[in-house]
Order: sequence, then structure tokens, then C-alpha cells
Amino acid sequence: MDARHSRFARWLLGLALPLGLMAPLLGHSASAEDLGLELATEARDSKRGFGNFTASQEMVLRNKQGRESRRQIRVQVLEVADDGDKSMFLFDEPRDVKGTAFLIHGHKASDDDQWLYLPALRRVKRISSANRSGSFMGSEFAYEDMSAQEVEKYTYRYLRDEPCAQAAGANAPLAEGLACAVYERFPTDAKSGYSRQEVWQDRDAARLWKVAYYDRKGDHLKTLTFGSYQQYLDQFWHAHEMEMVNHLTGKGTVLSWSDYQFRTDLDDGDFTQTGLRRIR
Amino acid sequence: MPGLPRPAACAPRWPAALSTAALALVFASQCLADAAVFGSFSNIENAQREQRRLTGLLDLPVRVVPVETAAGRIFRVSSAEEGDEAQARSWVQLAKLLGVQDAWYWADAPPGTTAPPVQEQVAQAQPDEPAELSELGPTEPPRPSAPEPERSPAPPARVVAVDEPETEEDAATPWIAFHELTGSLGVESRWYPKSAAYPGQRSHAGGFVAEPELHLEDAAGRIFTFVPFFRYDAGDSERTHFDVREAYMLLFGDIGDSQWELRLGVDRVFWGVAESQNLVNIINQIDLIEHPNEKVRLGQPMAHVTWSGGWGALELFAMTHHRGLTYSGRRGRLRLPVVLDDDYATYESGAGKWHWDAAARYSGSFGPLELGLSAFDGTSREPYPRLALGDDGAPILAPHYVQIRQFGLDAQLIAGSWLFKLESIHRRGALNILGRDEDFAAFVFGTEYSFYSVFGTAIDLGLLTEWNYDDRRNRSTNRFQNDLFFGTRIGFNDVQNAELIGGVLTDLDHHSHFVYLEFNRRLLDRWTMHLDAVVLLNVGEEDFLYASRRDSYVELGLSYSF
Repeated sequence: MDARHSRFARWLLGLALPLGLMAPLLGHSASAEDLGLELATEARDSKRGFGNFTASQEMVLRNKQGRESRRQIRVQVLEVADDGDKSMFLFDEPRDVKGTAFLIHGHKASDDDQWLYLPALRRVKRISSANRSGSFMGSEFAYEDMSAQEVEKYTYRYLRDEPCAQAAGANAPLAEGLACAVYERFPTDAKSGYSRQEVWQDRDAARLWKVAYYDRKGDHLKTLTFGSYQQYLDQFWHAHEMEMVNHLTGKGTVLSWSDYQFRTDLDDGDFTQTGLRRIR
Repeated sequence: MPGLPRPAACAPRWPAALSTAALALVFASQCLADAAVFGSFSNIENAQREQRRLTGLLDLPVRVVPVETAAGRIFRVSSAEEGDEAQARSWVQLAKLLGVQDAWYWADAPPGTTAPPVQEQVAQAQPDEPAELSELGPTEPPRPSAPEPERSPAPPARVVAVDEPETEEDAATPWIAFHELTGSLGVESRWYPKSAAYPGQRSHAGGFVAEPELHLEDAAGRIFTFVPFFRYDAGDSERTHFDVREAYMLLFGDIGDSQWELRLGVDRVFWGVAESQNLVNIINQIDLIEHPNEKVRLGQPMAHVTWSGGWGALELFAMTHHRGLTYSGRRGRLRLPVVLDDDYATYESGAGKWHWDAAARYSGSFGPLELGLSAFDGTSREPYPRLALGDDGAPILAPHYVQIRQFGLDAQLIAGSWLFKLESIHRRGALNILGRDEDFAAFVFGTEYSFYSVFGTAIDLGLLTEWNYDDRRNRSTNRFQNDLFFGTRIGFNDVQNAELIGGVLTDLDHHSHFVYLEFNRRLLDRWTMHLDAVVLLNVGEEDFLYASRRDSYVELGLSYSF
């Protein structure tokens, strides 16, 4: 049986290979939509295989007058093979919300599952993920900006190429000389606060350098820039600084990442409601 | 700016304010083994302390490098990232700018690393996983941190992976690998505008409250938690009380694809989904004296085993040392005409409060549905008050605790911005208000709808409706026999995390209203304030809350978190 199977498979392969090679010649040139999707898929693929990581975030919220306030958050992310990743946010500061934790089971095809742990009552609360556009911790980041950007949750359109240096944020000497592809992505989720986003992604390692957010009315609402990229495990690039500026309110939030640790002993059991009650 | 692309692995993470000046110094750099030394110590613990301090201060990966000198082994605290001379010198300058006067440029430093937390990763990696280690950067394989067998008399020094104390040699492993003391201290003042219904009751109660939390983790990963609670109340000596909210040891691990967890000691466990009351939440006694909303709970001694996996979680509980309901004293408000005195508590079980109670719960998530099924067999948390005479001859209410068996169901379904909630119980063996045995069923069913970013602001608004029902109706022993609840939660999503919660519980049989309002916001980084109000309206003689009809209050509190 096996031998016959493999002979058949080889025959099939022999037939398919030349056809596959001819396909680009037969088909018309890729559309802007295809190019956009390709870029987003490339960015996603460049991030796959990390297993899990933990990191610390400092969020500095700045109001229009320049007054700052700080939040300290620890993050754990677990890669899930066939679905969205699982992530956990644990708040350390401000002190009055210390111990509050937020668990997300991301999904590609459906709404994410979200739980909140309220330490005062030792209560785990399943919460609606309909709040996509609301502010995360009073910052300029919305919940949808904090969650993993699944390829399936947008449609795409390639726009143009331009130098990354024009787009990148502070502390981005790496962007010098890099070519960026600029493409649009359109949220498929009706609950998203955005009509579209413009993404600057380099051609070198599919790192993002800038995202411009347009609200439902089509106005330019916010801009996110990336800087201080570092590479981990000789493979994964992570921006250590992200700055979100809100053009309507003049407020801004700087998100600084530190203490990345990859392939720790985290597993599924740490991303459950039991794990949510246990985390420190 | 000059346009030389640079490997980002060498990029230091500058504090934003210094970045522009610093960039000019570090721009044309290659990855070489130059480093900045920020200090040298003969004691490794002092070096590690400095390492931690500087990692935060400089926002730069910092390592501890043991170096053999003529005078013996010293520990240099140095930059951990690879960089060239200019970069290392700029780190020295940065350190000096930030007050590290002893910083100097180290030309022949051992090779650095690219991943900041490398020391910990090395500590976690097994010796038989060279592939993992090679990704981490050190040119020498990390050695076990035992004293080196042969001492090289001269530099270059060996790089030994050293970081947290727990990665040190076994003999020196400290028992505690992690500890954390947090918690809150607060002052509160409560004012009852109406004169008292019963003689001796105070109209004002001020006091303070402390709830520190100590968490320890030992080298084997066992977690110890201790959460004492203390309230001093100037108005009511019964409200001045101490409780061990939590004092437990936690162990956990994996069995194949599932996980287990064991908690031994005093703990708090929450079950339920509703807001107006949590019928199924039976493990812990209510600390009623804290707040009439019945949400605050006393610690309960127990053994608690959890077995969980993708299919949900199964939990088993064994509990003893039953806790009595806390209740206002003679001078306190929110009480019956005669006080319920825990000193006169009686039990149906011969074992008294030492009866072993058992409980089990299954909980799971099924897409948008959260489901919990629970069973409890043991001493009722709800007292049946019996009129008796106290030692001084004055009448008191002696709480009587019977043996009950209760089955509970709690479920929550999410549909977009809607939440549908149900809690339901069936209890056997309970006494009704007439003191007779009566099995009963009760439920709370409700919805919650949330509006996000209302009117284009950051404000979230939640609207709640719940119906509470107890099939004993006017033979019920609580105030939720047939009550409708309307509530709102307004989250301002501002920097101060301001939140307003309000609700009104209307008794459909007696037409009374229990109204509450809570407002919280942060004042400064570690200071928060809360303003609470409870208002009792239209409470008739037949109503369960009749004795508290004059006990509407306003409370102002200030809290410091550490």
C-alpha cells in the first residue's frame, strides 16, 4: 500500500511541479491586494516559531500639557500553532491596580476570548471583546492595538515603496538606508475603531516602522512609530520603543519594552483561568 | 544624520531624553568586545545588587563578570551588550552623568552578549541543549557556577553566567527565591445622617484599615502567601476586627496535557457572575461588617485541589474551622434591634465549627459560554438567628449554623456587547425565617450591556439588569426574595482610572429601595480616594431591611497602596 501511495504521490508531484512553475507565466501580474496580503503574511511568518516569551512594558502617558504618568506591565505570550496567540498582561503599577491581570486567547476566525482578574475580590471575570476601540489603561493604545495583529483580521492593499527612514520613530538608526513597503490594511471587524491603517514595513526583515490610523470618518487619528529594534534568538526582531501620538487630542503614549526572555517554561497551563489567579 | 545601517543588536536602549546626544557618539559602530565597567565588588551579592540597580537606571543590559586578579576574585559590573570603543565610552559617560562616578572604559572585556536576559536563560538551559546555548551569544559555554577548579592567574577573565542568587551553587541557594510585600493602608470616615433607630448607635464611624500582602516563592517554586487584614473602627468595637484573609502554600505542576494545583491553608475563593448578589459563592463567609453589599469575605482554612486542562477545571475542597458571620455591635448601625453575637454561636453538627465541609466545582469555557457547576455539603454560611439571653442578662441573637447541601449553577454568555448571566442554587437542610426546615431554590438572572467610547469620549458605560428570586418568598432569610436590580458602571478611562458604580435594588414585594453609589479615582501615583453612599428608601415594617431603615450613609476614604 505504502509503496503504491508514494509512487502515486511522486507521479502527482512530477505533474504538479512543471505546472506550478508555469503558473506565474499563465496568471496575470499580482494585484495590489495580493501584494498587500503577501507583505502582511511575510510579517506574520517572520514572527512565527518563537515559542513563548516574557517581557516588561513601561507605559508613559503624556497629556497635552506634557504631564506624564507611568504604568508598569509584565507580558507573557504563548505561540499557538493553528490559532491566535495567548497573552497575559499583569499590572504592577500604578500600585492601586497591582495584581490585576488580563488574559487573552486570540482567535483568527472569531472574536478573542478575554478574562480579567480582579485581585480585590479574587474574582476572574470573563469580559466581552467587543470593546476593540476603547483605551487600554487610559493610554493612547486601544485594545485592538495591543492584541496580536492576525493576518485574517484585515484586508490589504499595497501602495508604494519609500525609504524607511522617513517613517521610523526616534532611536531608529537601523532604518537608515532601508526600503519600506507601504500598504493599507482594512479591519474586517465592524467593531474596530478604524476605517483603515497605513503600514510601513521594511523589505529587509519585515519589521514595522510606522502605522498611521484613520478613524471611522476617515480622519488621521493616530500615528504609531517604532524604534530601538533588537534581534532575539538570531531571528526575531522586536522594537523596544513604540510611540503612539493622537493627533486629535495631542496626547501621546510611549511604550518601552525590556527584559525579553524567550522559550521560558511557560505552557498552556499558565494561560488558563487557574493560571490567571496564580500569576504574580 | 549620516546614513550607515547598523546591526540593531548593538543598539543600546537609550532613555529617550539622552538619545539624540548619545546617537552622535555611538553611530558608526561595529560589534566588538569593548565594555563599560560601572563598579567592582569583592562580594558577588553586592555586585548583583548594583547590577539590578544599574539595569533600571541606565536602561541597558548589565552583567556581572568575575575577574581573577592578583588580589583574588572580584566581580565587575559591566555593560552586557556588544559594542565598540565609542559605544562603550558613551556608556561610561552616560553612567557618570547619572551619578556612577566610578565608571571606566574596559578595552579587553570578555565578549558580551546580545540578549539582555542571557544570564537567566543560561541558568534555565539544560547542559544537554547546546543548540539553545549557542543562540545566546557567549563564546564560552556557561559553566556551572561552582568555584573553578583551576584558577587562571591572569586576565583575560572568564565569563561565568551569574545573575540572580538562585542560579548560584546549591550550597548557597537561599531558601527564598522571590519575595514581594505589597498592600494598602487606608483611612475611612462614615457618616449616618439620620438619627439612630436604637439606643447607643453611633452616627459617625471613623477608622483605618490595613491589608498587606506578602508573597514568597522558594527555590523549588512553592508559593507562600500571607494576607492579614485589620480594621480599627472608632464607632463600633465589633467592627474593629482582625482576619487572616489568606495564609496558604501553593504547589502546581503538569500531568501530561493537564495541570494540577494544590492550595493548603487559609484562602479566598470566588464563584459567580452576577453583580447584585453571588448566590453560588459559598466557600467563604461574608465579612458583613465591612460593607452591606456582602461582597467582602473572610479567609477560610481549606485544602483545595484543582485539576485543569483544555476541557475546563475540576476543583475539590475540604474545609474546617467554620467562620461566623461578622456583625455590628451595639453601637454599630446596620443591624437588627438585638445584636447577633458570634460568641453564642451554636451548630447542628456535634463537631461544631470543626466539622469538615466538602465542596466540588467544575468550570469551563465553551466559546462564548462560561459554565460552572458546584456542590457543597457542610455547615451553612448563613446563620439562623435565635433569640437568647447574653451573660449579662441582655437579649442577644445567637447564630445557629445548620448542615446543608447545596447545588449551584452559574453561567455567562457573551453576545457582542451583551452579557447574559445566571446564578442558581438549590439548598437542602436550611431553616426558613420561621425556623422550620425548608428546601428552596433561588436564582439571579440578568443582562449587562456595554457602550464603549460613548459620544466620542473615552468613557465606557455598562448597564445592568438583574432579577433576584427565592422561591420561599416572604419565608426567605435574606433580602433578595423578589428583587429587581438596575445598575450602571461608568469607566472614565482616564489617567486617574476614575470609575463610578451605582445601583438600585428594588423589592418587588415591599417596594423598598436599596441604593448604592461608589466612586473611585486615583489622586496621586499611590493614593486613591473613594466615595460610597448607601441609601435606604421607602423601607416598610414588613421589609427585611426595616431595622436598618435609618442607616443610610456616606463614606469617604483615602487609601495608600505600596
